[in-house]
Amino acid sequence: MRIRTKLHLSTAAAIVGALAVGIILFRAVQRLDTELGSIETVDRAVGTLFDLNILTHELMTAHTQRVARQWEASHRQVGRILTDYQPVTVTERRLIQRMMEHHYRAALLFERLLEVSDTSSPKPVSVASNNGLTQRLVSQITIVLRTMTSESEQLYAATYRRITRLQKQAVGMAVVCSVGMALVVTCLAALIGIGLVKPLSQLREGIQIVGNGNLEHTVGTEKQDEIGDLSRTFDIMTERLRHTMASRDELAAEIQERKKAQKELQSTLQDLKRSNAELEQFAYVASHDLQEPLRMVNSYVQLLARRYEGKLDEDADKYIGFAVDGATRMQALINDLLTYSRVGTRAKPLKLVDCNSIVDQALKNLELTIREAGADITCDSMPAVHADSGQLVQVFQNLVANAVKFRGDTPPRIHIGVEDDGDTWRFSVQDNGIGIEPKYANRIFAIFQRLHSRTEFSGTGIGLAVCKKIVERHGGTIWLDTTYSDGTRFYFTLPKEGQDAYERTPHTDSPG
Amino acid sequence: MRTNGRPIRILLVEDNPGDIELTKVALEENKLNNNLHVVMDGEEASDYLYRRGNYTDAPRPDLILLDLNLPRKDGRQVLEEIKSDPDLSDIPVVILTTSAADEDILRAYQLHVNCYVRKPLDLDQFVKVVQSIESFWLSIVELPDRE
Repeated sequence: MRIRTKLHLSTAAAIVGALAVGIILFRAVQRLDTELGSIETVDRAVGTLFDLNILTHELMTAHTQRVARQWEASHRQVGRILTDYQPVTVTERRLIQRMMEHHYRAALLFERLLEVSDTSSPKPVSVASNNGLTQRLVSQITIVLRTMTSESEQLYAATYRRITRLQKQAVGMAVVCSVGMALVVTCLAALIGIGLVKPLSQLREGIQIVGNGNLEHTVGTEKQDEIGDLSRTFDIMTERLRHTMASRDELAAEIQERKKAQKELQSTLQDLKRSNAELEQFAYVASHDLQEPLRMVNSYVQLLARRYEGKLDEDADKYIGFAVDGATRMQALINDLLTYSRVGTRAKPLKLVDCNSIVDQALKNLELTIREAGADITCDSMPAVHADSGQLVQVFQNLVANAVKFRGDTPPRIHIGVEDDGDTWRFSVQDNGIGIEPKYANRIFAIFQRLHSRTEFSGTGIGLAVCKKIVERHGGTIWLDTTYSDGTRFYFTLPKEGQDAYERTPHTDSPG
Repeated sequence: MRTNGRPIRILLVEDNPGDIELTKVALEENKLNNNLHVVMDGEEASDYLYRRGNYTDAPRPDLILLDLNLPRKDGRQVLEEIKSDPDLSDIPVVILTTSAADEDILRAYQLHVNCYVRKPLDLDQFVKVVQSIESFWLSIVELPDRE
């Protein structure tokens, strides 16, 4: 049961109890009132009977009509009192009945008295003619009146006793009611109190336990009252807190895991960087050290050719030719490998450089080739960028060299352009040459990838790989514009803020 | 160079027999009257120049062709020795090596090398370079007469 309901019921019970007590007391007072009225009536009756007695004796001495009328009036009054009197007990009713009978008898006796005495004469009854009869009648009336007085007194006594009893009863009832009320209220208060204290202390205990960090604790009450609600709400709160803590723990674990993963990633990245650097170093050292024996092979094969060409048979000349060709090609490959590895190992810090002078330098390096091919080269006005100037020259040089090399039947027309792409500059080198099939768009940037036989076009296939490596080192990208079909167009970007480029500690060739 | 008709004396300090042979071929083809002496490490080069051990009668060379990477004593040390010795410092020293490292080049010139030449990869080029060196130092430039 809810505490509020309990309180309401207790209040109602107290009110009902108070009302009952009030009603009982009121009724007692009412009865007391009635009894007091009765006793007053009886008292009046006794008074009037006393008057009648006196009047009866007065008749003996002064038998006058006035006295007779007074007697009759008093007698009537007694009759009225008896009629009006409400008897409570059977004894009372009998008494009243007897009194009424006596009242009647008194009236009869008085009538007889009046008959025998001449009331018109002013002489007293006792001195009237029928003195003996009168005397007897008066004494009979006196006896009757005395009896009635006695009966009235009995009635008075009975009523008085009843009043006393009523008073005692009323007091007793008041005491009983008060004690009862007090008991009931105390009991109710105790019941409610007991109903409150235990779950409250349970709840307080629970709060302390949870407050100390044990989120597994539940108050777990079955009570349906407000404290039950409070306990359940508290349990729900603890439950949610537990979930929150659990998800927080999960989150923490996840963060831990991610941190670990990130650490691993970083270490992997570092490993990768290191292995990449080692690989570059390896490529560099290998190609550098390979050059030395290869120089011997090449030189001596050439010496053989120089000294013995035409002096041996035809096959020997052919074999020597192949050997010379192979050694020369290998030398070119190793040279290119060195160039490629140097992009990483011999990188210089990026500085703000004017691209116009970069392009000029690239074209100057290719001067002879360009003149021989009769190439027509146009160039936009170039911005300044953060770059390793030597490497950027190489990018333009390789792209323009390719544009000249892979020309068609008409003289090459080459345009070097630049566009502002917001954060980056987008450079382009386009030609009217033989073009590249879109399906090779990615392959061409791999090292030593060639799309043509050596008899068609010379070269080892290193140029674009070097370009890609350099551009990426500068934080840009390079790609073939596959939508361009009038020749070949390469795009490459360089960031305007040249901060993304990775830096390597430059180192130099080891001596050979 | 005034050699009074005698063959010019060239000291080649080189540990690679292949290069020794190629140098010889180049010098032969140049047809200059020369007398090539070869030592194969830095220690030997010092002995030759200071006429120690087997080289007590060794003549003073007119030109020294010096490789940088040598067994026992490094070419750089040999160069430093020559250029810090007043008796030897006027002999032209040409570094002939495969190294193209900037620091090697710089160091060599700081040690007062007369010139630094990288061995070409191609035979024709190699021959041409060796012949150029010989012609330049032995017939074009004027050097002090120490005979």
